[in-house]
Amino acid sequence: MIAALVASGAWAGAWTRASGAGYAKVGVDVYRAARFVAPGESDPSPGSYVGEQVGGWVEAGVGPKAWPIQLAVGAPVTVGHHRTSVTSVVGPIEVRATTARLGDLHLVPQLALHPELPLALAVDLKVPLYRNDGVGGDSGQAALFPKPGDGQLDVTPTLWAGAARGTAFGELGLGWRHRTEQFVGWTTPVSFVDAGVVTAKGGVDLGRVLPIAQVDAVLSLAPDPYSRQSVTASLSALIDVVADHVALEPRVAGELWARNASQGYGAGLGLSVRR
Amino acid sequence: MNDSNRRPAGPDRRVVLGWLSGGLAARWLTGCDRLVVLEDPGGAQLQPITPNDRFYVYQYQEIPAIDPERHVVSVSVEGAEVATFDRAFLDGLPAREREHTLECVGARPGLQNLGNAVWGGLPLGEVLAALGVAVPPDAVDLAMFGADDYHAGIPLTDLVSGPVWLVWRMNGEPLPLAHGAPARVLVPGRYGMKNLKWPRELRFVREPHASFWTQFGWSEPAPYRPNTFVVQPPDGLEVVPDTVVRFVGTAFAGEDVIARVEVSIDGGPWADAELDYATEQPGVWVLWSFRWRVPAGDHVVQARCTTTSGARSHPTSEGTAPLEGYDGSMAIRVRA
Repeated sequence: MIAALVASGAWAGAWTRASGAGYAKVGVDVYRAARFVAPGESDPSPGSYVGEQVGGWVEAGVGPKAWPIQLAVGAPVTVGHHRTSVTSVVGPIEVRATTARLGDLHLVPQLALHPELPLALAVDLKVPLYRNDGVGGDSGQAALFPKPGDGQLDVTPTLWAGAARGTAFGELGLGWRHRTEQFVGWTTPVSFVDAGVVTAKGGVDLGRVLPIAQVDAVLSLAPDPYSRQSVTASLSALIDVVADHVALEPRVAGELWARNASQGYGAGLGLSVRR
Repeated sequence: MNDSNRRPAGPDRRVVLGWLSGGLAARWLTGCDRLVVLEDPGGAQLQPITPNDRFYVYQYQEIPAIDPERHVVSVSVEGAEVATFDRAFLDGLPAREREHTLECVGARPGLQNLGNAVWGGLPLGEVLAALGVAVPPDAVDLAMFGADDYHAGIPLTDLVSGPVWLVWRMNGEPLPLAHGAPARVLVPGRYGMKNLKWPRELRFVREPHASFWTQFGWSEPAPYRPNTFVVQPPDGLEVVPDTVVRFVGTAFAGEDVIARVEVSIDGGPWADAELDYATEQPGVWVLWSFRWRVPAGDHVVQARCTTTSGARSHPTSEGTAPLEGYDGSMAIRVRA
């Protein structure tokens, strides 16, 4: 079983922060899988899966004013619970296996491709901060424990374009997720395939509230029984309730479609500061 | 069988980033795992022969998607293939039956992963002889690789002293896929993690083989340790005062035959339990029972076993050194 919260969406966007500008967020997300199909399986697995994630995310503009460059980094702590029954000598036993780990570190440099237009190239480097081989190891029941992720280094370059009219804006990201086959601490026969990554989002600035609708799709470039594919829709908002530039960020999301992965829904709440 | 199937299924299978596996990083990567038993299987009966659908299933990854009818097992010397066999070959051999208990090295109170079955197969030495394979005189270990990339090694002496069996039937039926079809290895005297399922290669090696779980601190030789479980009633049972409760459980110590099971109430003197199923056969569990009229109050009921060699399950319920396998004398709480 590979645990994954509802995709958090793209770690970048069409607008690149100018030098000196920044954004920081801490948040918590909860997720419940309504259906889980393990990699390599055709039928849903028994049991239920619930996950929680606490993480931070920082973006900073570091480039020259004429040609902005943005650096971003984020890392969560993930907690996954898998409730299922195991066979025993006198019948099934209901158990709950919980895994708590650091999740995937995301490092995302982004370069503005035009000094004026919202056009950018971002490269998301995903580095697992956990070892799947050790998950559940001390219990002797390792297969019951949700794994924090797929344990693999990924590189996802994404081309972003945006447009704004009045108080509304829209962004489109087209990316390519390269699965490097470089695993961190996981001895596995599983092999993943590259994927196309598409993100579309739009919002309207209503003053102290900025609602955003977003759709994320991860679609494998070749059929395979292991790689996670999903289409996720989410609604979120930046609400400046504490002070200007200090916002609460509620978010709800649902996976409209998923393959080789859980399919479920989630909600989150963050607190962000921007300047 | 292609070359990739001959590779040892160790960390060399994929590039592992060493810089993330040591020091401070390793402490974060280790994280925290917890397994909670939510519901005990109350009311079910403990049977001498565990039905296939109640026999515990454990593997380190998913059950491999193999077709047992077509799966081919390779026999090699240091990776150089000397023979192959499949289910059709095994079905042509004159299988014999052997009663044998398996216990997971991770079994412990609340998660009593053990079971006893009548297996159909032959000593591995006889299977190898039927294949015309001679055991290399300079080999020290048999390294076994599964279709799920799991691997385990056993000393070659086990082939004779155990002896190790290869089985392809379970309780009168073809071995189910979940239990290792087309065949699994039975290694007398060693915990379940040495009893490989879905073998894809049996490799004679001239150096001791480090098994998969050894890298995580689990015992490499993994000999069974004497242990006693209370299976029924569930821990924390509440009854009406003066109710007679029948306590039922298992005792097992691998090849060391269980001679005696005793029960202690609230830390008091030990009293003999009834041995309801005791074949006096090495490698087969003992089922015991003990009746006690429960007076009002909170009580602790503990069971221990003693083997014919004089070994005894550890006085504590939690046992010692969990990575060596459970060796405790399980205790449960009862309230009346």
